[in-house]
Amino acid sequence: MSDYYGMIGKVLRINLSKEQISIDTIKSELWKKYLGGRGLGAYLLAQEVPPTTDIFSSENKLIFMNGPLAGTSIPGNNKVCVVFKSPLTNSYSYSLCGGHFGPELKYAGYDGIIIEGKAKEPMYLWIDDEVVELKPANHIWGQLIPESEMQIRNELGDDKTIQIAVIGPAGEKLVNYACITAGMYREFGRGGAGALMGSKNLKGIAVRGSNDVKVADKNKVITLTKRLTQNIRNSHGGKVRRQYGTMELVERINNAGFWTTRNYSEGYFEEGYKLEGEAMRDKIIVGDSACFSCPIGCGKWTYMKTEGDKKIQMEGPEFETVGMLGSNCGISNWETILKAAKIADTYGFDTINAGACISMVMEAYEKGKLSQADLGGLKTEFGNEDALLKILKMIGERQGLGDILAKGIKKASEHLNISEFAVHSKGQSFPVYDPRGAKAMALTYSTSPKGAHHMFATTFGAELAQGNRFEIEKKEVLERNQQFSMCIVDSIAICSTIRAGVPLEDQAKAYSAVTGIKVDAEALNKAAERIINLERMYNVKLGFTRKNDTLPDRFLKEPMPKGKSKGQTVDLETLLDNYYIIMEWNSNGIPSEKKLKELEIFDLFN
Amino acid sequence: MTQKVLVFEPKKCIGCRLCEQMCTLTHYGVANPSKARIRIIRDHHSQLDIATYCHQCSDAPCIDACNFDALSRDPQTNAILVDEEKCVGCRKCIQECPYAAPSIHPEKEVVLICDLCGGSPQCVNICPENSIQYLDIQKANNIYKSIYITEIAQKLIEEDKTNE
Repeated sequence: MSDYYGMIGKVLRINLSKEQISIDTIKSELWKKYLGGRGLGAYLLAQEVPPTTDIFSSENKLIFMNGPLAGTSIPGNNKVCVVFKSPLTNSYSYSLCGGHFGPELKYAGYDGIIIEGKAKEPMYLWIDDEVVELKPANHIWGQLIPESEMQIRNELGDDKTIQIAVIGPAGEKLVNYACITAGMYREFGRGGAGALMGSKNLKGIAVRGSNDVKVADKNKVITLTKRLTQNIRNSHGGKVRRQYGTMELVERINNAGFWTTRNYSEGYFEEGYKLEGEAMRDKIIVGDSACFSCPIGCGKWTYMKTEGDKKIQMEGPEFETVGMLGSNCGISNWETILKAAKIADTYGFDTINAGACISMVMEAYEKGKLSQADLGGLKTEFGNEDALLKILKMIGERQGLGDILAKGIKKASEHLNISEFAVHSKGQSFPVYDPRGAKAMALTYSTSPKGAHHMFATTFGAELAQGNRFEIEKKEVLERNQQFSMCIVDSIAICSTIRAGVPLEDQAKAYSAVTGIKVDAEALNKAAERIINLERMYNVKLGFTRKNDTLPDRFLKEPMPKGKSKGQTVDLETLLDNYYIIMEWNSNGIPSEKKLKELEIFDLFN
Repeated sequence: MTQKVLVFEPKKCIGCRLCEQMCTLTHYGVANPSKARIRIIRDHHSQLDIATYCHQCSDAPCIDACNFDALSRDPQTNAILVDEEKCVGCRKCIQECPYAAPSIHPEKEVVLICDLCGGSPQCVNICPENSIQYLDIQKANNIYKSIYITEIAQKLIEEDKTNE
């Protein structure tokens, strides 16, 4: 058992090849060193999956890991991380999922699950406290996300408290950016964890728990919960998120001229006002929905009647989805965006990568690089709503053009010979914040170990607030601090949005009150530095260096054509030079032996 | 003293379940929803989060149902009190409760019913949406009426729209 509170000290190990289930103990000193969640997951991946492992071989693993705060009352403690070697980027990757799945796993008595091997036949995993079993899933294989979840729940007795994570047809068919979906609308979204799960013939994981999560100092936890809940509710950020969800960002980002538009060629979408949070609230939002222990409730229940008295109802879509399937494809029609999001949600794939693949094809068609014949008869000009919906379905079913786009943006663009329109870093598509409009985001996208991912360091908010978004001076400091900040919340298992009312000092207090391990802000930052260096080293062992920390030429050479970021390009090389210096890495982006020894991770890779 | 009761409004609840956590931290010093006397369960189809909790019925069917004399009234708050020495976990009160409020403790054979935290319910104190309130029974009436008229009004408006 763990010496600590908060965590349990037990991780389930599921060997699908042998159909063997066992329990590992996690040594207490590892919690101190890697915090939990993303950090501990990264450590276990480095221990168990050598960097050179073939992606779809049975040696690759999915490591689900909770943080120490998961399942307590500390606001926002719902993020569970999965760490794996990614089918999309062929590198280290992690992905976080909110909702109620992670805390339920903790209540079942486990900090995490290591999935290894490959099942001979489709299976799903059923974790009911100490009773853990693999059940046949042949009859569910091929079904969409909602039907799969419903079927599994039905078989387990229709208990609505069971939390279920499943893959859809996209995961089964190895769409390289397939996600794992928990509780219908919350995803382990990026990097293709769903495809890896599909390759292992694992359809889903269902969890029900009735164990205690113990805390070291009950009174402090209660006091903190009350104070932090109030802080969050009273904060401006918290209030806006409650009202409009992530869609509040449309107005801010579009008006500042860095909302990706028409395959990232522009930063201002003239019809963006139709998609702003207020318009969404007015048109389609019917309710608010929270993840576990979150007083914000940024989830938005939506409902729309379409022609023929049909209805679409869902949770979301979120800001990234609306940008990638909306502005970036030149589309502003809510009905189409909802239908598009629904296809991605039910087949189970990442809307960011899918949207980027489609916008790429749209631009290539408009510029005459792809013809209607190349596209199986489709005309894919920007704004073609019908084409968007058709291609999304083809991706989910891996048919025709969809089969090519399912490989991921890098491989698909090479296959179609349109690499100049492929906007990615390390094979991961860019989300909707154009780095020309917030320069530190260029470092976020280029240095993230999982490829272009905004949540590796969300610097744009600070850059907007500080009014220095076009400058590159001192941006390495902001970048490093934000990388650490995100790494800490990802590892102790609270949602990054919660930071609006839970500053680092309070995170340290919460961590100490729950676990009984006394930490301060400095100790959390040190752990974050250790984790980021560890993640970096995993990729270094794969041959990744500065040459992989790239941005597409579009952001480097094409000045932003219009809007409030007009004329901007990114000087990536200067940004990288300064960032490597502050991280104490060499000019090729490789951490020094001295740094790795100081962080006590040198032996992991030597 | 005037009787006070818990009133929950499903349409206000966002499903954060902080109430469950505060309930078990207060009673047992741990977080564990299956020990909570209030449970919030999400229904994706209706896009609602709905609570199961003790409504403090005046003529409580759970007390009548108990063959072991294990349930009684708190003279101060009117909450249903469980005598853990007498309760055998037979689940008769669970079957009789019109609100699916009681549940069996996950570790011992006794039933869990809301004790109103002695008059200061922690679920109410933490709820960020005010979706659960602890009110004078007469004032609680008004909440039910308000919910009712909101629903009726909504229906009438929709009928109007359909007739247009």
